[in-house]
Amino acid sequence: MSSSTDSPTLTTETTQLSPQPDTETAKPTKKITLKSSDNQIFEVEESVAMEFATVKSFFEDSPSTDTVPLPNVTAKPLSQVIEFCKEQIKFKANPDEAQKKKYNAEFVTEKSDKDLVDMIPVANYLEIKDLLDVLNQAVADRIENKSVEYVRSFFGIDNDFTAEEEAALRREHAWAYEGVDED
Amino acid sequence: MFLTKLKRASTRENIQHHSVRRLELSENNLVSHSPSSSWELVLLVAHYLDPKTLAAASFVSKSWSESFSSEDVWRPVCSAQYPCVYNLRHIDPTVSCRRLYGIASTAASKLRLQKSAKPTCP
Repeated sequence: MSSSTDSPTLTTETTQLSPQPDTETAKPTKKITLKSSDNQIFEVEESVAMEFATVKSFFEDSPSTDTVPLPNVTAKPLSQVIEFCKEQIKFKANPDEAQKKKYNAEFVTEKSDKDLVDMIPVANYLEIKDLLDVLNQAVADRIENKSVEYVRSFFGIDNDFTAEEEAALRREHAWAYEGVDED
Repeated sequence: MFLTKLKRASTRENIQHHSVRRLELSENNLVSHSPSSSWELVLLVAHYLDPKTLAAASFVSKSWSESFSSEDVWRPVCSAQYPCVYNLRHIDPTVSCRRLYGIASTAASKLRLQKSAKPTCP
């Protein structure tokens, strides 16, 4: 149970030059603006934005900023990631593991393959550990025991092997090509 | 698939490792890191895949093959499932872990076939 934000002092002995303002105290009403690479503006509550470790450290470095540019993140995956984090905040306030599991499962089930694949780098970049875990697991489940061709089209990758190279791979690594599920 | 679960647990630290690097990149501003590319995806997902799917994914394209054949990816897989075979690496370190895994897995499935053909084998 760590609902209290009064974190134990871990690294205070390193710098004691100036008294640090206590930025940890919750201010649930404060909004933070996130700007996607395609110039869409997302206004989210501070508590949601602080779920993104990357954004959090950005704010720790420059607390006066009000808009955070996210040049590697497009609007669609960002909006889905925000949706996920909003729910996680609720579970933090009201811990219910069963409900959380259920929500996480539904969150990925209703997403297309492309949505999942697009969200992974975003979750990684924003450092949302829980989401990254959920997404990677979902992708792994969807491609488990599938053929090379299936995995290729799942991720939308072009096959740049020549026919000869591919035949050689099949010969050399037959075990990886045999006994896969039907697509 | 108990193996998959086992592997999932053992790879947490790799992911954390990845995050730390990302954090260093993002310390000064949020522009520093290159747009997400497919190899990045590969490394993130790799640790969640069972060995067979991992192998399938490593033959998707040339760049994926390069990322996925990394010894860092295959070492834990091979040592967890076929520790005896993994130890053979000391004899010939030039043989990759993926190759070792493939040999062991082929041999294991042949053994299984033989066993099922002769169920009362002493």
